[in-house]
Amino acid sequence: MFTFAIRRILGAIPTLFALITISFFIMRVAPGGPFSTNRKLTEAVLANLNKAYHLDEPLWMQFGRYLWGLAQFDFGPSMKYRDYSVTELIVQGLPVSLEVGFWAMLLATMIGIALGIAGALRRNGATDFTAGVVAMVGIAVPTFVIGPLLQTLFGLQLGWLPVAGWDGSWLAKIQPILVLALPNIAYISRLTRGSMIESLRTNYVRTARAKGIGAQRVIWKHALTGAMLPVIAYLGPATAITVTGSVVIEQIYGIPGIGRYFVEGASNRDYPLVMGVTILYGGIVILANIVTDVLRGVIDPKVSYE
Amino acid sequence: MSDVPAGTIEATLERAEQPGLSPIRASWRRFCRNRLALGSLVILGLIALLCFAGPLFFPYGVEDADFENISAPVNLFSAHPFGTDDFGRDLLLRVLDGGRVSLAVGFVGALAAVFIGVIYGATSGYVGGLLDNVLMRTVDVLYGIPYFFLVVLINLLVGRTTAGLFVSIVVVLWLTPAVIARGQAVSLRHREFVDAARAGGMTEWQIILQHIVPNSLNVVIVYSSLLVLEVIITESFLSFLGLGVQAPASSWGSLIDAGARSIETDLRLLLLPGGFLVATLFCLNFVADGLRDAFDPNER
Amino acid sequence: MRHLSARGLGKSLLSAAIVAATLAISPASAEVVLNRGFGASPDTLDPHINFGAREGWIQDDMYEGFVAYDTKGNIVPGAAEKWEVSDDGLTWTFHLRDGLKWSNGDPLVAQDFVNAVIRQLEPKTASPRAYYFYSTMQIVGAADFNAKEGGDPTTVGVTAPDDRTVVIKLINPFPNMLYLMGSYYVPPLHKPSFDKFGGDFIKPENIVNNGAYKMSEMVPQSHVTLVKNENYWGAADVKIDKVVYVVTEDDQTELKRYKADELHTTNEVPSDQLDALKGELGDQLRITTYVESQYLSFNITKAPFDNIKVRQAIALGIDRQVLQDKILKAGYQVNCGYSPPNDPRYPQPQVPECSGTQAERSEKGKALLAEAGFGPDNPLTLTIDTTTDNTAKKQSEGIALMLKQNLGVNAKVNAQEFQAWMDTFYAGSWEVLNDNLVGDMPGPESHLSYMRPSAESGYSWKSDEYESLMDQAAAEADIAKRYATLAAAEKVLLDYYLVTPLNVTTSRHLVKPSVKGWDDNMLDVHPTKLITLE
Repeated sequence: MFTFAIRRILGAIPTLFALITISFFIMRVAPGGPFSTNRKLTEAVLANLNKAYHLDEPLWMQFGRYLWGLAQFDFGPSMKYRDYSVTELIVQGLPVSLEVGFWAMLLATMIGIALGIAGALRRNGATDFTAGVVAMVGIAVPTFVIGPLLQTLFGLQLGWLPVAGWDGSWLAKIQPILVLALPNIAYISRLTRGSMIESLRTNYVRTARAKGIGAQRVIWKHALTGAMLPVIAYLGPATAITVTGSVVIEQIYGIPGIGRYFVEGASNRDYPLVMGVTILYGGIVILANIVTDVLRGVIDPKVSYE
Repeated sequence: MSDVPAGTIEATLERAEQPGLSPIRASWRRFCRNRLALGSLVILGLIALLCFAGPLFFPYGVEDADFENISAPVNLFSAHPFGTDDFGRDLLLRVLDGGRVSLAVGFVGALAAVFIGVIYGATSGYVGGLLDNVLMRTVDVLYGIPYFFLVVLINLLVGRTTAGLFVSIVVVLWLTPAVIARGQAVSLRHREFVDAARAGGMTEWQIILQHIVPNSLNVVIVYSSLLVLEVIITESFLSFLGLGVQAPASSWGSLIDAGARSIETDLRLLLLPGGFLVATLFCLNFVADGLRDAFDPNER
Repeated sequence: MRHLSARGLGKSLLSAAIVAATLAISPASAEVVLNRGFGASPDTLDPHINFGAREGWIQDDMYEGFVAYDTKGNIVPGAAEKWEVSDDGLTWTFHLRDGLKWSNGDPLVAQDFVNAVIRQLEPKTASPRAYYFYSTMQIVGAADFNAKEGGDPTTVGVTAPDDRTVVIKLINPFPNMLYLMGSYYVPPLHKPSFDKFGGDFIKPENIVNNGAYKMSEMVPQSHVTLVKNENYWGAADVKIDKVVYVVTEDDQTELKRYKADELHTTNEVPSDQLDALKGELGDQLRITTYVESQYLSFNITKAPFDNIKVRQAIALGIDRQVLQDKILKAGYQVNCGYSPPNDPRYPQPQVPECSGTQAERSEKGKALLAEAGFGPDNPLTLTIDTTTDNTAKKQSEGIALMLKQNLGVNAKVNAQEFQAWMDTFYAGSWEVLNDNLVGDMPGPESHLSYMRPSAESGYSWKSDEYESLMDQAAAEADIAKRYATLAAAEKVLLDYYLVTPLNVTTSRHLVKPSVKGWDDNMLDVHPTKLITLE
């Protein structure tokens, strides 16, 4: 298993490299200059700036320079937030994004699995129906509609939670974490329900039941273990969903995380910033996929590492 | 949100291992027995008909603003049954027109992605060997890249037109159909009818196009219904982030975005496009479920 | 202040910091905190580079120039206790207060102000504000010093004969001089910290400044927190201990946060809700005419907009009254000239597009388009570039619909964030721009001097007539004659149809009743040091 993990990590290197290469070259050919100013720049100033940022060098040299910078965790200067480097922004924003993302994932997994199991055990019952509705809403109603609605409800009408903002208090974190978790709650509950139903039908569970092992124990020990595998396999994609969702959530709730920098960077053509966030988020998703693969092996002995 | 649950795809993949012997017609019959799925398909068809044919019956175009009737309320018996927006444009017409863009991007986008993916995957799986290795390594690498970010990057590159939106979505979404089709192709490669075709003098390309691709389709159809859903949602996200279609063109995503701004003043602006979008997504979801059941005889 | 970078510039919903609870009740003993909605995250707070009006508010709290504003926007003594101007209007002498200090306790001397002007003029700073010193006011030697690198700073006509005196020598008289002597234009430079930290000298941990407040925290996309500067000469009168500029990118969310008591004041009020809010919040809603005008600009280097008939036709296709009253509903006034008509002494020229009925104008516009080769078979298509500011976007979409209806022109709207919009402008790939300019003072002068081709504002317009009229006006000290010449210049600009005027904007804020010392004024300045909380 250890060698498998190592192999997966080594296998991820070309992916990361491809991501860096693609984003670097897309950003270089995308429209818009790297120097956004509020005044027209004279030729002399422009030449100076180009030189200062090494833009007068051939493209491959610039790429090499960028890679060398990355190796030292230097993502270059931000063009939109002119008082900061991209690295400074990431250092400031990443912990915030990770915090929201982590809690949203945890919440989604717990609620999703609980709803899924409840639904599977009482098929077509009230719980199952409710879980189904929640899942449908989570999938079909965009978070950018749910967010403002909750802001109005909890922030204004009821006054229980702050409308927006990020001040370190847990009250301010409730809404964004909940909204971010919603789509994953939907997917995970459906997934759990489906695999649980299948798992209850499998021979070993039937056998266990036939042998007279208590229904409770069968459910918890055998059926659940079988049902968990697809859920664990889903954690990789779930990370991707959470990462994407965080871009929207940070926008709605004004959270100073890196998802927000991505959007601001993209719409203001701050290419170093966009690249930095893309590479970082890409790295997180790739890592999550590796962890998922390894985890599947730990839980399910049938998964071969070959 | 965006990504399709991996479990669904994998389940589909596993079931696909049985060769495509069950004819599509049998599956269709099974599908028709599923009332919810069939009903959803009918509603979906009606929505599409409404969006594409409906605007033809209006006496004015979508860009004809009636400056005398700005923000007119709902009045079913007036010239503007669902009222007008804050420029005096007919709201219903706007939503139908936006639906054209959303549905077109969704269906055509999914179709194009499936087309590219199936050809790529079938070739890779059928030919095998080094080519298979290279092609599939490429897919693996691209798979690792978070899809949404790639869409935004490409969107920046090709610009903010409807076509650009379409391209950026397709470029990213062909990967899964490719993997599915490859799996099918590998299992079909050494079957008798393929051998027979080869002996009969068909070229490799003819075999891929006439035998491998059609036999992968049943699996791919299930997946594409989910893909349409994904594309429509992605489009609405891009619109929310300000990277979608440009005014005065609209899509459901951009209309909902505008509507979400006026939650407190004019709820119609959110509810009408939102209703259409949610109804479409619900239907697509049920249709996808129905298709999966129909193509998987073991389920019932 | 070019292009009011993005008031409520915003797509996206909102942003940042502070709990409701801290604001609602603040016990007498605790420090007094003011939460001000700020709009989009600041671009840069470097006082010599910043070109945004909103960033100017923060700058106004952190720095003090020779003069300052009172609550009504009138000019009062700032770091200078008095000043005088020579009879020919060419030499200005500012006398600093005694015992001025920087926030770290260092003595603040006249040379620090000289250094500020020099830094803004130095080519390597690439400051967008250099033209203030060689074009708007014309300081001796400034243009040459700015033109190429390695010049001698002592050739610039800003000098410090002693530690408490600054002398500025001009080429031409400039009656509005004092309007450009505040913190926004001459924020002194603390050379030791700048030499040590370079561009990082404005980070909270490094900053040394001379205003009523100093920075304690700066989190992009969240907030900027300023605390009272005890070394400020007037610190005894400053009542607010701490002011938090909260990033509120979307005006709808900002409104919600204001209603939920998370903010004392807002940066913006959604224009489509003004009527409803008037009823709901009464005089908390403050709408004031602003020194900003909006207009469409044409790219005269791009066909067919190099054809004056096309430009004129587009100008005729817009029903300005309907646009303001029925679509925007933001309290804007239709403007028929380029500059905002806010000085009654100025005889502003009026464009002909403001008279007659729309039917007549459309008729005329179509005829002009036909002459230029466009008609129903060959419709003109164009793209209007705008920022994502909600009102600006709405205005552009409204104009696009009007052009379609009145002239049969197919107009698209391309809305981009402020920086990308500026990029498009300077790249020259645009066709029609939803443009605006914020004046630095009442009267036409800051607008008209910005449009001078020699100010390199990016319109590729050349007009010797305009230049020479502006030169004549600059040399004129008598206000009536000066204004008459400026009006002649404005007419040249309007007759060329480089721009077509649309409106004069308003500043719109919500202000809690507990906030005192926030008076409405045309320049929209509200220094925190003059505000108290009850």
